[in-house]
Amino acid sequence: MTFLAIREMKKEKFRYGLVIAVITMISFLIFILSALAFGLSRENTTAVEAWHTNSVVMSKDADGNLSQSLLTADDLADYAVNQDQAQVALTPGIMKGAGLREGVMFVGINADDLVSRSITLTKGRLSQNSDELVVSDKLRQKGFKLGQTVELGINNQNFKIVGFAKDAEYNIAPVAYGDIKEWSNVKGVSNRFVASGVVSRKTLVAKSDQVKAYSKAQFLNKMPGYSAQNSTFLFMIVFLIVISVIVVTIFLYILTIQKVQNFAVLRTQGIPSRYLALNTLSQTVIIMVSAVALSVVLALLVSLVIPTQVPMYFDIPLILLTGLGLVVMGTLGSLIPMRIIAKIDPVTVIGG
Amino acid sequence: MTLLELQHIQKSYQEGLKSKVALKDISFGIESGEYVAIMGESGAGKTTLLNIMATLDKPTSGKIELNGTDLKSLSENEAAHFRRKELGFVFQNFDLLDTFNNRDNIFLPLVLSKVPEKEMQARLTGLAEQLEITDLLDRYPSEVSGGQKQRVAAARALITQPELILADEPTGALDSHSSAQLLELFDQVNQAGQTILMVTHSALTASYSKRTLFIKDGIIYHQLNRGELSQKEYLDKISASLNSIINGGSVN
Repeated sequence: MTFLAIREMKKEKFRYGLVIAVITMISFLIFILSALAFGLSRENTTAVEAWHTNSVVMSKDADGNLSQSLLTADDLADYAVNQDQAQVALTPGIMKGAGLREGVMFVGINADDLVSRSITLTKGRLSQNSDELVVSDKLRQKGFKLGQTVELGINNQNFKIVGFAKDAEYNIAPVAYGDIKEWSNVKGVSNRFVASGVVSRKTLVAKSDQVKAYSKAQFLNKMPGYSAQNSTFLFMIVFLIVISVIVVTIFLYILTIQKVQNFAVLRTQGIPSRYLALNTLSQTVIIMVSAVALSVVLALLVSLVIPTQVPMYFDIPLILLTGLGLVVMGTLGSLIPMRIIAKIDPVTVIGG
Repeated sequence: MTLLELQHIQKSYQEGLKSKVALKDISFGIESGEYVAIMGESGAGKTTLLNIMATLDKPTSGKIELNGTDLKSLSENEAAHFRRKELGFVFQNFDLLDTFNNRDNIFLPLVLSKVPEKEMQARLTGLAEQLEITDLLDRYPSEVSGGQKQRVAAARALITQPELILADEPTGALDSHSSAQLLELFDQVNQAGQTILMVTHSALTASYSKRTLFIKDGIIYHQLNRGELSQKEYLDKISASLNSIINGGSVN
């Protein structure tokens, strides 16, 4: 079946090479963009993902923004702290120390609860005192050191970094895990507020008028900028896929037009148009598969040289799915040139 | 045995509101092993006739049978299969595929019929020697001369061992030396039993055949048999016939 397809491509290496190169570059762009989008998207959510939560309760007035939520002991009385749920207390702040200044998300937690057990240390240990912090690995890359004393919060409170953790980003900011009792002081609110929310593996419901419950998906989408960012990237990627399909179709169309005379000769010799259509189809599949494979390799190589500050994440199932999507869409694009093949009249060959 | 049989073939086309008659009434038969040329000026209906015999077109009325198969009743797919199995084509412009080397051009029809590689090679070896193209097999059509291309095209037509070779102005794009070479080759394969039907407007080309049919205005109005004549003598006979036609004289 591929007798014609392969030989044609071998002979016209440059022509088919160009097509493959263009498709490779477009799909490379798709993969890099997806990796960047995914990387950025993950910077919003790695901490929440690490907590393994399914739902969140916070004050109604915070409108889904956990770091704006203030809960009193009364509000929290309805939600027990146990194996499946934990209190968290969030506030954005600037961490300062040894000439470094970084925006962080302070996350106050209780020792040995659901959240603190979810922390994956890369260096150091968990906090044992209320003046100790476990911070995101990102901050280590920025120059913060183990044992370093830093100032944090509205009152420039002193803390000591005792550990670094991976997967600790919340809404793009690196997380600094500290003692939940220090939170009101760091945030600069009255200490009648004791936490910003309750996270749970179970599905929580609002038990008073003061609070509201969110599913994980609702909660993430309420994160400032999160859904806008994701839909922007999604549209960019979808448009790129559509463009690549159009490019493939145009190429195949031109290649087919150039071969009409050849195809007419083959039809005269009794070669069915089905064979010629399958020939174009198998060439398309060869072009798409090799271009997609090349671009994946290229994207992975590029990801090795891109600085680590740039968030990138290669989601293998997503890459496979996108790659498959490209191959399938490109193959659909080859249906247009096939209409030309079906219409080729072998009579044109005779009587020159 | 009659291989090809045409009875009262008529073909008309719709041109705007008028219908144009390309073939009025054509009847003839070709025996297995014959070498027949159909002569005529352009517009005489030769191409239409060739298309019908090649199953690329269907007559408006009349009967056409090749080897017992009614060509009118074939569907498009059946016709394609029939062409591949029973017919070999040699075209004026060779029509080899530039993207294939000569060997693959020759193999292509066999590949489609799923002939084993070994058998393809075996068939080609003898054929290539006979056609003197053994050294050209690994070259591309663009790298060989017109005469050589036409010999490769002939090999492509012959390798499927067709019942009938249809040649459309096979010498039309060749110089006189290459023409003579190709026609001698046709003569050889015909002597080996291959039935050949060619369509041409050249008296010289037709003079290599064993029988010549003259077509004009959609009918066969004359035919000549070569008999025991040499090619040169037969050429004179064909030329004389053509002259008398042009001069308006009757022929018989």
